[in-house]
Parts: sequence; C-alpha cells; structure tokens
Amino acid sequence: MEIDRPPPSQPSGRSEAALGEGGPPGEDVAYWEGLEHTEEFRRLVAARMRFVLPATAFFLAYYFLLPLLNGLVPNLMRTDVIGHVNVAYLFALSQFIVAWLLAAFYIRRANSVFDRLAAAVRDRATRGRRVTP
Amino acid sequence: MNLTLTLFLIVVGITLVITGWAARRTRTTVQFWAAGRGITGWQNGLAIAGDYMSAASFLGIAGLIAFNGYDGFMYSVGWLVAYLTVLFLIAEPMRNTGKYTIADVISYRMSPIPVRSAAAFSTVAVSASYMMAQMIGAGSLIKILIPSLDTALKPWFNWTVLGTKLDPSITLVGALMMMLMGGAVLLSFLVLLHFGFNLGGFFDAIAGVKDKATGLNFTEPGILYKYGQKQVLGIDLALLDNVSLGMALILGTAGLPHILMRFFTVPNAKAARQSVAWAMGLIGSFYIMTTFLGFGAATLVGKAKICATVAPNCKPNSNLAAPRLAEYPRSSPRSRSRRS
Repeated sequence: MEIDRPPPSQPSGRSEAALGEGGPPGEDVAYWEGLEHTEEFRRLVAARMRFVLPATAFFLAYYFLLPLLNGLVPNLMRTDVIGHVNVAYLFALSQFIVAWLLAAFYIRRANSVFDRLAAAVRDRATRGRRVTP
Repeated sequence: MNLTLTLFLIVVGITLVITGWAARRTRTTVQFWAAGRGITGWQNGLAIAGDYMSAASFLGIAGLIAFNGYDGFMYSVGWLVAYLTVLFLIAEPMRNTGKYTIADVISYRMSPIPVRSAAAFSTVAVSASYMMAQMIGAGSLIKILIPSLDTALKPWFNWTVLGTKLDPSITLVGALMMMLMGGAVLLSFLVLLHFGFNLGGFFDAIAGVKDKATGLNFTEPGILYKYGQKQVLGIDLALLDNVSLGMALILGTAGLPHILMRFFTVPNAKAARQSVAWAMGLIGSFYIMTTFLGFGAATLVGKAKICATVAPNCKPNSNLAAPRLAEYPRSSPRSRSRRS
C-alpha cells in the first residue's frame, strides 16, 4: 500500500492529485453518497451547531447593543469613566476583546472536538458503507 | 527625482519581480487558481489582512475619525466583528468544497449557467464600484505625495468616468497600501510619543476638539449620527442609519470576493480557521491604531487643514487625514519651536 496516497475520501479538490495517479475524477461521489445520514456526520453537524448558533447569536446581540445604546441613551454613553475616556469608547474597545475571545474559543473547540468528529466522518466514508436513508 | 516617486517605483518593481517569479513557477490549474493549496495558516492570514486593510478601510476610517470623532470608530468595530461571521460560517465550508472559485461552489448544487452568469456579473459590478473608491483614495494620495506626477498626467487622465474622477493611479494602489501599513504603526507610535505616552493626556486633547454643528466633543457619539433629530416611522433615523451600517459591515464582509477566495488556497480546515485567527489579530490591532491616527489628526492637524492644497484653497478631504498627520512634525510651527 502506498503511504503518501491521500485517502479516497477527500472531496473533489483532490481531483488534480488523482489525475496524476490515474484515479477517475468522479470517484469521490460514490464515497460521499448517503454520508449525511450516518451517525458520525450527524454528530459533527450537531456539535458545530451547538457552538456556532449560540456564539453567533451572542456576538450579533453584543455588537448591535453598541449602536442601540449610543442612540437610545447617549448621555449614559457620553459619561466619562477614566479621564476623558467615556463609556462609549470603552464599550467599542470591548467589542475587539469579545471578538478575539470568541474566535479563540471557537478555534480551541474546533481543533479539539470538530476535527476529531470530522476525522470519524472521513474514516466512515473510506470504509465502504451502505446506509439506509 | 522625487523621493516618494523613487520609493514608489522600487515597490512597484519588487511587486513585478515577485509576480514574474511566481508566474514561472505556476504549472497546473490548482497552482494558478489556489496557489497549489499549499498556503499555511499565518501566510494566508497575512494575505487576508493585507487585502482587507486597503485605501477604503484604512485611510477611510482614519479620515472618518478625524472628521467625526467617535462615530467614525464604529466602522473599525464592525469591520473586525465581521470576521466572526467569516470564521463561524464561511471559512471552513469554503475550504471543504475543494473548488477554485465562488461560482464553482454555488454552481456545484445548482444550474451552472445562470449561477455563473450571475457570479460574473456581480464580480464585475462589485469590483468596478470597489475600485472607484480605492482609486479616489489613491488619487488623493498621489496629489499630496507626488504633486508633479499629478500635474504631468492630468491632461491624459483627468476624465470623468461614471461621474467619478479617475486619478492617475491605477497600477499604484497596491504598492501604496503596503507602505501605508508600515507607516500606520510608525505614525501611531509618533502620535503617542507626542503625548509622552500619556493616554489620559491624549484623550484630554481629543475631548478639547469640538464639533461645530453639534457642540459635542470628539470622544462622544452623535457627531456623524445625529441622534434624536429626525424620525422615520417613529424610529430615530440616525439610530437606523447606524444599525444599518452595522448590518452592512457584519454581513457584507463575509461576501467580499477577495476574502472568500483566500480560503481555497489552504490545505485543510485547520489552516482555514488559523488564517482567520491571524487576520483577526492583525486587523484588530491595526483598527485600534486608527484611533491614534484619526484622533491624532483631529487634535494635531485639525479638520480645516486636512486637504490636498494648502490655504486659501483648502477643501477638506477626509482621505488625507493620515498623510497630513504624517507631515505634522514638519509643518507644525509648535513642534519646531519646541525642538529649538
């Protein structure tokens, strides 16, 4: 068995590699057919959604709070906190911190959990399986 | 020869040499469209950040802050937070399709001919309007940095295209932006140095700048978005404006072709998300610096003096806030007397 040959589970981006090795370009379609019904695939999608949906809802809410507060309670937002640094400026700066933190959480989760689940899906795809829809 | 022009031609020359070298190495389709899918996370992150912080976003934001104070900073915030949309929803799925272009991705599941026609049309439409904005920014720069070039080329290039003035700067945009990013770091440092690294003093100075129309000081929201003045359907118009801007920034970024196509060049999903992380770190840091550039220009130069030609024909041009700020130590009589 060749070691450097990519597993036949890559999506069609692999086709240029496959051409060099004589693999038919349409080959991966057979491997992907019905994969969305497997337990592994559902687990990956569910795990992603469990993180992405609440995180998206949170960052949208947190972001739009800034223009809303600026417009609805301008006097509160213009209150100085330290010297002439006011609430509005600090809140805007906190948006940067929140964005960086959320990105860091996502990447940590993706590297540890999503990648492992995706590997399980690929593994399932390479074991020729027939799933009942 | 003008020093700016010399530096400029050197940067253009280097760019051409790199392009020529890369072109000779390109052999296959995947190399041409997706750099062989061999770009690493941090390299791709640098590329995204470099593409993103262009004339429109960088000079534009510095100018908006210099002219409108705090409200201009809303652009910086929205443009960074937008990357969460890209990270959560776009980057990895784009990579995982393993295609070459966005049209390839959409037409994978849909009827290819109408999808490709629509994609081609929208690419040309978006690029054309986008390029206008970039060229106006670059043109403003040419005027101030290389006035002789501007005068010399005017008879040939001063056409009116789509109601917009096309300045003689088409090929020079990219090179200028590279210099600007390095310049931004230096400039922010110099602004802070001017205030003796005393942030409190810096903000005192900004609060000393007042907007004539509203009477607000420049650290306060409400100069660009004049809250509580006009109403539409019982809702504050300025508030709607600001929320609508936020939606455009946060959802729009995830649709920019020059950002999306970057995710075809990385080898795997991990590299795709790492490139967003690098891009967010760089873009966020640079956009926080827009505070120093914009507020610095507002306090040290002042709106009335931010223009291409000096008084008495001074027409304020917000794109020139950062370049005029860079000139400040030379032009200001105050700092000269301080040095002597």
